[in-house]
Amino acid sequence: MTRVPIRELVVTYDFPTDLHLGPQHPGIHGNFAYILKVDGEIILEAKIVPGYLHRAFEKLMERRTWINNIALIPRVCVPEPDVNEYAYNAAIERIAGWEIPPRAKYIRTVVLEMARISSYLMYLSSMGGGVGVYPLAQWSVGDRDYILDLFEALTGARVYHIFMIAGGVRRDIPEGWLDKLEETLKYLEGRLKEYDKLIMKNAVVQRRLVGLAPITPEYAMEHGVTGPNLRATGVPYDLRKIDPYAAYDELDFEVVTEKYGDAWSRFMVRRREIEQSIDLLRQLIDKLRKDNTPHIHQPYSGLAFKVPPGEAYVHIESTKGEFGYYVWSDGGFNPYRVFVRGPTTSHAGVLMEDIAVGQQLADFSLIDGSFDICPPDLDK
Amino acid sequence: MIGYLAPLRALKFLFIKPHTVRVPDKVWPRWPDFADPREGKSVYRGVHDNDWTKCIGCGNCSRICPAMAIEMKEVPKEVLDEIGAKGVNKRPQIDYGRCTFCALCVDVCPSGSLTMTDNYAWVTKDARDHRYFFPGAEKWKYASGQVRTWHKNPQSDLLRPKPWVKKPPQPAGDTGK
Repeated sequence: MTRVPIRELVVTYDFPTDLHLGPQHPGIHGNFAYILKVDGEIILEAKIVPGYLHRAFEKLMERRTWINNIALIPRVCVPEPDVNEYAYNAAIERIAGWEIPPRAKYIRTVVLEMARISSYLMYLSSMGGGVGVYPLAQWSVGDRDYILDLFEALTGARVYHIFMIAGGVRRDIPEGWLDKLEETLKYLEGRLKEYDKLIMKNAVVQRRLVGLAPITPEYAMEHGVTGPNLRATGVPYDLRKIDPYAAYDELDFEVVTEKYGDAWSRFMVRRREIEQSIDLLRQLIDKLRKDNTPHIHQPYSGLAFKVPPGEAYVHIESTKGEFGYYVWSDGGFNPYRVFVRGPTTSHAGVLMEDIAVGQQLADFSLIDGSFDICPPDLDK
Repeated sequence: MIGYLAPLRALKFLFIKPHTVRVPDKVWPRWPDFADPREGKSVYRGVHDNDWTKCIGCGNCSRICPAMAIEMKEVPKEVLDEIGAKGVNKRPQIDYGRCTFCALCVDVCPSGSLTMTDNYAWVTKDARDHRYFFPGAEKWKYASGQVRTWHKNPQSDLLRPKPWVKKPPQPAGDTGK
């Protein structure tokens, strides 16, 4: 498919205009803004305006105890909060040198994979809205609610689960929950076929997305792009495979990649990873049914929990990219320092300012959406 | 050609029953003017409930609260004597402007009196009530749910350590007998 260069189609004016896009704009996903310099329909310059969600998480964590922080950290990334819980607790376990029961690992992996599906469904919704296929926006948010129902039955909460704790998870899987999960996975698999008919095979959507804002593997690695955005350029970089954590070393899966690095490839990587997550969850269900170990290794009491001195860096794969937690303990009741490496810092902070230049204004929210930018993680 | 016609297949969903529930179909009995048909799941972390007869006023909940939302409020001795309560005459009051519903307070409650309920919606006409919730007090009893969902459980008890000792793997063939 050939794209006509945009500059030949659009009449340009001699006076560029400043356009404030966001934070109250449906095309911008979250409390986040851009100041665009536009000439007619063409974007000449893009500047990000972060800070609307800055809550000083890293500093707040130093003032709260180790256990208290688990209620705070999910807020670092709203659509996929569990990666934060996992990385923080895994860092504590690495400093303390604990070994975690297999069941705790499996339950954590189930939670992480379910969070991946729910986050990708949110992504499909935002892309459906951006491209003008509103049924997809509504369907995927509706189907995400079935995942949230499962979360509610397992963890007691729908969005911020606050479920993982140093040593494992807070509760074991309730009776009959795995059957419900299996049912939901079967339902979702059927729904994905409907999604394909609606949007993946949709010629209008393809014309919109194919060739839009492409990035090369070299450019992506130079700019610190990670996660599905990097895999869309053909680099098989998936931390679940490269540096396995939780129970991923026991699971059988292939890293999903696409070739071209454009918006369509980024879209397809995520669409295919939903299927991958469904497959991984089925493998985990089998493992959980056979396993009899406890759900937590808790050699401490919640009110007087100290972590021995030491430091650890844990990085894990989220749907936005690579999430990293660097935790430093001086042996006290609180962390001495916690540093959060969020993927959106490189995706929004560096990439969007560069890649939006020369694009059409109508495509801007699609480009922003296709990178799956998560403002709370940028501001922290 | 298929590319242009495939999306039209979604039209069949116009004739399929929706996911969503019409609110007035089923009215919550406790709240005639606030209709909500959905019940919380069996471990749901909703509005708190506190059994004043079991509560000993130790203040563990206010100590662990990540949001510093729990304050131990003094209760008149006569009120506690009347219901036969023991311990200190202080009971937790929760600031719902701060509460994150993490249920850590429930997991460190030594007597198991503090629980969370299936109620996730609370409507009041008084703005002060809305913020400061005094679980267990007579005035606030209407707001707590009927079902105690997330409660003190040996699985999630944070006070009692539960270390896991890894068993050495069993040798495959020869057991030494």
